[in-house]
Amino acid sequence: MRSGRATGPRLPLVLGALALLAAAPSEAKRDRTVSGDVIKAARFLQAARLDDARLLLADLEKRAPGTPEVKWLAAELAFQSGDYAGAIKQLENVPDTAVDGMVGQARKLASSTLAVTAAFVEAKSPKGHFLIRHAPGPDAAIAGLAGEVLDAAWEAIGADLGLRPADAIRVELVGAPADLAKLSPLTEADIETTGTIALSKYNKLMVVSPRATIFGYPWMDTLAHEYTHLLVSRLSHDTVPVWLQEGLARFEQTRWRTAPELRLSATEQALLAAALKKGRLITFDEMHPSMAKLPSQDAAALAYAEVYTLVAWLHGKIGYKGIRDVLLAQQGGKSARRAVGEALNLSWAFVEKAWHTHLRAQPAAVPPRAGKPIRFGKGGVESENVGLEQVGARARKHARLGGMLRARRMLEAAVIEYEKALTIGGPEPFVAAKLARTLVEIGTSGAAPPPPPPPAGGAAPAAPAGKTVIARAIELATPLAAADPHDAAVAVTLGLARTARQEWPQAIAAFEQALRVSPFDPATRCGLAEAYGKISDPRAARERAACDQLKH
Amino acid sequence: MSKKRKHAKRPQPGPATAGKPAAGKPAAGKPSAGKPGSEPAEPEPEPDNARQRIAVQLDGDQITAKLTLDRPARYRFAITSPSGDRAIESASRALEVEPDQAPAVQLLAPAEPLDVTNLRRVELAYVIEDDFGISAAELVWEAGKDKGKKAIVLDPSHGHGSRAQGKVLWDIAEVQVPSGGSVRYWLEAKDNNSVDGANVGKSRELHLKVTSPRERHEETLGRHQELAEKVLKQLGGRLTMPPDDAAAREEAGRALREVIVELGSLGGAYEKDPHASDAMRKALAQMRDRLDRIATLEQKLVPKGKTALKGAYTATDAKLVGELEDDTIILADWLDRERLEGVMDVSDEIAAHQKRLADLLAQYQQTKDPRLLEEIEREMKALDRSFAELEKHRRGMPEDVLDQYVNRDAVQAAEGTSCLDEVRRLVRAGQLAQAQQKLEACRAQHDKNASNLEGSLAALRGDKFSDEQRKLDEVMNELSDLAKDQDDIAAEANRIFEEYAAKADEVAKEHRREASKKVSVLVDKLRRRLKDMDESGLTPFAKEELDIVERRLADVESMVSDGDLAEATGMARQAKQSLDTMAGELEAALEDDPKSKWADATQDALDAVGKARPIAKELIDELQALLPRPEQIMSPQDLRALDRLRRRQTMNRDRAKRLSERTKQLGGELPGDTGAELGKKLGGAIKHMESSDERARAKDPSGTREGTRAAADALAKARDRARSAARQAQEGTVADEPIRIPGADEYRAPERFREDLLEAMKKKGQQGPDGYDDQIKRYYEELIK
Repeated sequence: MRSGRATGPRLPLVLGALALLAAAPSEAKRDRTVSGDVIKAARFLQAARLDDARLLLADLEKRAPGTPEVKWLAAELAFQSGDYAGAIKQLENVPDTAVDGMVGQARKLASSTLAVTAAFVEAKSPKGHFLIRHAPGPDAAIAGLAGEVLDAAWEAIGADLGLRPADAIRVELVGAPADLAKLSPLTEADIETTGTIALSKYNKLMVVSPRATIFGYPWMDTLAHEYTHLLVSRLSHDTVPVWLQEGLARFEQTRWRTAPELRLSATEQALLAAALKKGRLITFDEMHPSMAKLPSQDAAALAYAEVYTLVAWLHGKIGYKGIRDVLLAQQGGKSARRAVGEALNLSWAFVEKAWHTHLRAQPAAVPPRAGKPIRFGKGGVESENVGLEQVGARARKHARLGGMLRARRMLEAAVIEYEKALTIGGPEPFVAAKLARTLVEIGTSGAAPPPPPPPAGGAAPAAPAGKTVIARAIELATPLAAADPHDAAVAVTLGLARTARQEWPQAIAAFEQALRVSPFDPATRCGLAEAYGKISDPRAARERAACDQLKH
Repeated sequence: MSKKRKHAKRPQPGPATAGKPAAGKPAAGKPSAGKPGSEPAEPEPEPDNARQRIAVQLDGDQITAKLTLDRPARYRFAITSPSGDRAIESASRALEVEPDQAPAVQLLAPAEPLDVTNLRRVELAYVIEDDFGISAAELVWEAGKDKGKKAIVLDPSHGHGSRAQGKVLWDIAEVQVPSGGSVRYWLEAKDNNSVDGANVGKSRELHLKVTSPRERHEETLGRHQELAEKVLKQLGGRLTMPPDDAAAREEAGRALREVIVELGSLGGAYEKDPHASDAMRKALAQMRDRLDRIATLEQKLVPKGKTALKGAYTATDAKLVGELEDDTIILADWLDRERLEGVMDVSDEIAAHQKRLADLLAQYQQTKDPRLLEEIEREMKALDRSFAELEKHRRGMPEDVLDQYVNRDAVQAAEGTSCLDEVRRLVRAGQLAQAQQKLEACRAQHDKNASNLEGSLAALRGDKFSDEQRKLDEVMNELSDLAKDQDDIAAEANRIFEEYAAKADEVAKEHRREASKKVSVLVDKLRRRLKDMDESGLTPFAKEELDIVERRLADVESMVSDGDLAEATGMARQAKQSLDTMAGELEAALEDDPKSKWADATQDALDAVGKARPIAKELIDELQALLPRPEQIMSPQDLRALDRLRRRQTMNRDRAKRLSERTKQLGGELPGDTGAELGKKLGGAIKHMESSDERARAKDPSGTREGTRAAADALAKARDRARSAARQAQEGTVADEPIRIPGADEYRAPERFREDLLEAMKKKGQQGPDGYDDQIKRYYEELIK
């Protein structure tokens, strides 16, 4: 999952302040009761207990008005409540160096957040549980969808974990990784390197819009994933360690649309199987303080797969009731290992042993497809060959030529090159997907398909003719879409092919799969609008509006 | 000049000043009646149809009258006495007029026509002469639709009211003209005619052509892209072409012929392009030959007018499609590589501008010279342009290349611009120290990005030109090892020298005064030689070396006065070494372009260096003579260490020679200009190694240290240069110094100008109004002076 909750020290500002208050004399420090309450309020803020922090701060403002510590706490509270301008105002005339430099950091973050979000528009989710904020423009095409997904998550995950927040949760959709960097402690390079694309932090969800990426990413599940982090933090007063947080979020991220399930990708299965065989699973200690600190993307993927399977296994043993107990026990001060052990009535060593045994009993992994990192657009000239490096060396030349020809709408010639690539390189998913899409475009363009006899190019297999073009596209795309539900391009291809055959339910399933990853592709939204329209689904209007917006 | 203005300036017949109502103070003559001066006299200009009465002012025996004339006139004094009697002169006096000339303007440029890279400044010199006074001057240019003017601040210290002479720096960045565009420019000057409007004098038109090798290269890349599109189109067409469609085949054949011709023309365009690599030229030439062969084969398969048998083209088609597939990839790979190298060229420009800006800020901090602020602004503007260019280049690169090879941080124009904005804000707020600090941060960030870009390019080459990159890696690894060993050798040489110098100091202290006397004579002599050198003939690299020589001479003096003769000898050697390097550099510059417009000045500079070198040698000898012989004071251990060091140096020199040989052998197989550049730089390092070997043999720890250090520095430079040469990066793309007029500092109105004036004088003399010859002659003689 390319998302994360707060990594590393979750609230460095608070921790820093605590250290300061313990070490340096100040106005607040001189009054021991005030000093203790400042620490307490800071802890409330750190533990996502905003209501408690608010009450205590109101009292502190009477007892120690105007002290830098109290002003800083008020600023932190305003910031976490979404009042960025208010946070900056609270810090007026307080030097950056105050509270051990925390004031400067808080001001900087509030200012950069305000700069990014000042022009944002906001919309409530259909059921009012979320406030979706985004820049005016294209992101409006997904704001409504985001609200629907999150409302569904509010219901389902709320029931699972036992918390349905009464306050509307803020969600900030940002247009680029650079903006996420301005809203958080992450750098742009961190975001690109680790693939972190969303965060649950500062009592809100921050998500990079899929339009910042070339191929999209599973943004709907990511929203639910981040929301799970927020719930777990609130339930446990932010005491749950990274491994359990990530395991729970991963397990719950699809609950808005499906029943609880364990669905590992082929890559994850292969990674797990290899690690079990070699006895090289990532330990929970190694996962601390952040998955993003693991040495490689493979290590991170393995770690995510491990915690996912652990929570799924736990769920199988103790159900959601047991999981809720585990969280409550941690809120009460127990360690995660102890809480899990008690819920299972086993020592932690036995828990690990039983879980490993369970893992070994899983069916053998199918050969994996290479994992696909999120690719952020870099503003170059559009190219059909982004991702070409996935193709084996032998087939790459023809695959590249296919992409170049396809980009110039020489579709029949592109088909010939793609076919050559498949002939030479064997089943290459990248090539098969491109070929399938090209065939669909030929089949739906009304243009004559390539001639059946071998063309002047000689050795290349000729492209199929007539209706068989679509059939061949479906034949190529179906297994690809099943193997990788995050490959939006293949899903759209399948949707278009099914549409060409007027197979509306299959078309809808394919387009919806694409929508979960790449909602800014007009082909997805327009295809869905048409397919919903054909079966009189009321969502047709929403999709039509999005289609029109994206086309223009 | 058709219109003439006249002033009553003098009562005597003679020319009057044009256009400036001036006062004349005629001595009062004897009027025919009445007492002079008893009442205001009134000159009466003639002719009658323009008769005017003008009151005069009396001042003692002087009468002053003011009047404006535009043609010859006559006047008489009319005097009215206090009693009311009126007397008038019987004979009128003549007032002659002198034609008011437009200013004569002479504009000089470094060359005519002048080829100048953009972002450079050109030094122009002017001489403006007017008969009565100059009020304004401006440089005017036209480049296509772009027209511009630049006011010239006339320097009152150079000339007087009727003569102005000076220099103006013209920033070519002010001219909106693309690479290859021509600019006409001239100087216009106005005189101070306030009567009927200023006369405008115009210099002859000069011309310059704005060239940017990088932009020219990019234009060629544009053609390369167009050709690649045609090849791809040809491939697409051939792949789907029905084999027996004769019309389609004919059309495809015609298009293929066009491609072949254009390949030749593209190769021609790259021929003199310093940014293009030999390997690319070779690849294009080979591609052209291969396609030509297949196209000819296809043409000959079926004679004209005959129908092809079924399958007649099968083999040729397969061959041609295979060829076109390969060619499409080759063209695309080169385009990707060249574009990425183009990004790096812009990145180099940014680094150079940042460095210059840092230097200017440092200078301003020291001198507070307000003129530097203009330079600082100029550099910041240049940086703005370069960052915009970087962004443009990024946007022009295919997304798949950016995605696969270019790290997000590597091309961060927005980040660079915002960093620069902060520098600009601080400069304008007068917070210079903070601006310098911020600029250093910007530079560090840019260096990091540039290094990322180098990595991106190496990755691209490794992927698409793997053989070249592998060989480059091999050579660079060997060079790194060599440089590391040389650093170790230099460190050991330094240690031996320090031991020796400490002992030598003790001994030399006794000879300090004598040494100081002898040395200062030679240092002064050498300095005079350097001072006489014509710097306009020096290349930028030679200038750097000249600075080094000057610094080392100062070091020699200071060390001698400290009694440190060993160190002073070392400094003298470095000075000599820099002079030798200058000589080599200047010789190379003359060899490279013997017809350069700088050739004469360069030859003069080379001669001057030639005269300075023996003095430097004499200085070294003198210092050595003053020093005790090293073997007399060095310990046996150090003598043995020096011998070991010599052997190590010999081994490293042999390695360097082998590497140099290998580099030569690889030549064109290495990317870009690496082979040639590395060969040159290694040659320099080997010379230093040989010299240190020689010095070690002669038991000279100082010379050994200098040689080993110089070799280590040369290897470090070789490494840097090899990296950038691998992408045809051109050295000195952003020059600090404007293009100057050779010898402009000693500029006087040239002989030719005076001749022109004399010629004009003769003509004017012939054409002038009767009776004015003497005046005109006087005017021109004055002007010529």
